[in-house]
Amino acid sequence: MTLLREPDHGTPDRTGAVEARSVTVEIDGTAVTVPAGTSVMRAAGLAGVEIPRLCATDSLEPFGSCRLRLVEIEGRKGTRPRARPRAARTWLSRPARLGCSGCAVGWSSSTPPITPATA
Amino acid sequence: MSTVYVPADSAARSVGADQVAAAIELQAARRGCVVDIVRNGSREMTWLEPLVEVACPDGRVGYGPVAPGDVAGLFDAGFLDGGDHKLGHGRTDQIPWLALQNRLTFSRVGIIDPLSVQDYQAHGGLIALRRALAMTPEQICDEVTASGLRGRGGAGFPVGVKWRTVLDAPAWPKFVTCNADEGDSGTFADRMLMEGDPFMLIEGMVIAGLAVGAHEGFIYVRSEYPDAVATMQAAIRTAYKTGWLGPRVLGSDHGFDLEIRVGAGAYICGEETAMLESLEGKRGVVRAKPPLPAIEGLFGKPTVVNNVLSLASVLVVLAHGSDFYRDFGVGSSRGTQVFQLAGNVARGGIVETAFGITLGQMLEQFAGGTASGRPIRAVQVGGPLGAYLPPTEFDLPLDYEAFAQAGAMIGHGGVVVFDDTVDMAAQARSAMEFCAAESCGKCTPCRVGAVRGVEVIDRIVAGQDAAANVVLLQDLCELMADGSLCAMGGLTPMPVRSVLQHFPESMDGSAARTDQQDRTGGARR
Repeated sequence: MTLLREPDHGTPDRTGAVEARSVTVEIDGTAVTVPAGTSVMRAAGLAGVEIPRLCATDSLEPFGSCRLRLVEIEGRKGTRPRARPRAARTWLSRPARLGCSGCAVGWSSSTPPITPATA
Repeated sequence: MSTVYVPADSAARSVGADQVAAAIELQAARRGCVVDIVRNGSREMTWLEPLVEVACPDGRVGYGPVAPGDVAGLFDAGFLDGGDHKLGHGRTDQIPWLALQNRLTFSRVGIIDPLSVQDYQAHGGLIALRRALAMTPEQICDEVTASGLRGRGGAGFPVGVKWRTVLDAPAWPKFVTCNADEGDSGTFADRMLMEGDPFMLIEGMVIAGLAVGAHEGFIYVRSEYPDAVATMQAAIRTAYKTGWLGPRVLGSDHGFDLEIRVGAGAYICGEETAMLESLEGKRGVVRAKPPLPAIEGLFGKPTVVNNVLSLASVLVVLAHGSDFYRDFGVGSSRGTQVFQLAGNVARGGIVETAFGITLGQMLEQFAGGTASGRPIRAVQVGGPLGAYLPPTEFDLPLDYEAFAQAGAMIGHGGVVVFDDTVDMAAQARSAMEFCAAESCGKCTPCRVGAVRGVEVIDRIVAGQDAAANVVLLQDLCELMADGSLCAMGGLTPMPVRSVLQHFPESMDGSAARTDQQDRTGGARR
């Protein structure tokens, strides 16, 4: 029997979004160019890095409930280096840094808000 | 004719203010005195409630706490002319507890008849709004930013910056919402302000609308505050009649409509995105951020979400200028904070003071120790998700950064005091239990973590492998703090960690060993 592979990158495709800009990011050594507003999760998926998740799929806007993988952003809360499997070890090369629209950073009332996605 | 003030604030009513007012009316009729009873807000000295005040030529003289049975004696003592009585405190504004404070946002509360338009204007009302109407939105945002005012709901985000983000957002329409879902234990400042000076909040909402270009506002009040809801609704009706709300605010081209929405008893609806969901008529579930409410908030439109005290503070900034406001406070905590003293305190109530006073000074000068007379063991600052601090931390200055560095938070300014009979392990457990009960259930660390937290603490208290379970609890706290979607799950570890840090002896399983010893008649010895 033939298996039809339908890759799911976790969040909707942003091609043709209001902002037509694209950004190039390097994820775990692989460069990938995606439309601005794309989630880290999707960009990673396109770069061949599969990030586990439970609550995200291409057909849904980011929901952020399973918290299976989180993104740490340098200079923001949660940047302490942790050798823990639950933290996504996906570092983005600067200055091309996407905001995380796939799964919001662990939010605390004591932190300033994260500027919306666009690098 | 004498004017007598008896608070209609719900804290005063809960200890019999209505009966006292009725007794005064009855005695006055019997004695043939003409007395005008004004039901004011509270002077926020809850330990003196019901506080009866009499207008005398050189100021208001206070008597309290007055029971209905004391009223005849007060008349006998000539209290209508400020006569001496054992409940008398002399001039109310000279009571040290009040005189030592910096009353900026609470300057009118308790002084005026809450629903009197004349009183409001006679005590500095509308000055800020008139000034704002003569400014551009950018100027208002800049002025508020320059004052250094930070959100008083707990997060402490700069108000001016938030407003500017909404102003710059291209979408239309925009909304102004006020978060009056004051659910933190030991907090009551929002309620007292709404019950004692409702026009102040209305004026603040209109100014926020001017600053961001919004023409519609909502005040989200918790259902546990029926008196505040009634007062606010009456004030809004009056404000429409007098032209402070409606299509032409104070005769200007700016229109602003304001409505009250009442919650349904969910703590999580005090979280701003859950509050927006609830305002939209949905279940109060937290939204993932970004997008921020300032960009996509109520009905997906740019929305200001501010606490009652933040909006009230804006009036002080605009009426007196940003320099005046910024001159209060320390570091990056500018202006005054409205602290609420509660729990086991001798003198509870609202202490509005500049940031920078130490916790110890607050407890000594204002709280006056515990009500039970026993020594203080712990103080929880910032609501049910704030840290428990032991007396060794009482030198901490009350400002956002100093508290954050100490692993604590100021939050909404609630200060709850416990004496040495408190069971700290039970307090830690109650934080997790509270989170399990109040979590919206959307994200895993909060929904599952809180339940697991209760179980782990129960094992520690029972003495089951306590050391290993404390390590597990620390790990769980880290996961909840870093992984939760919002501050509910993110801050629940704060009280738990503070107990582990400051009161480790209560979390080492020794309580269980002591119990066993007691049961076995001290067999270990």
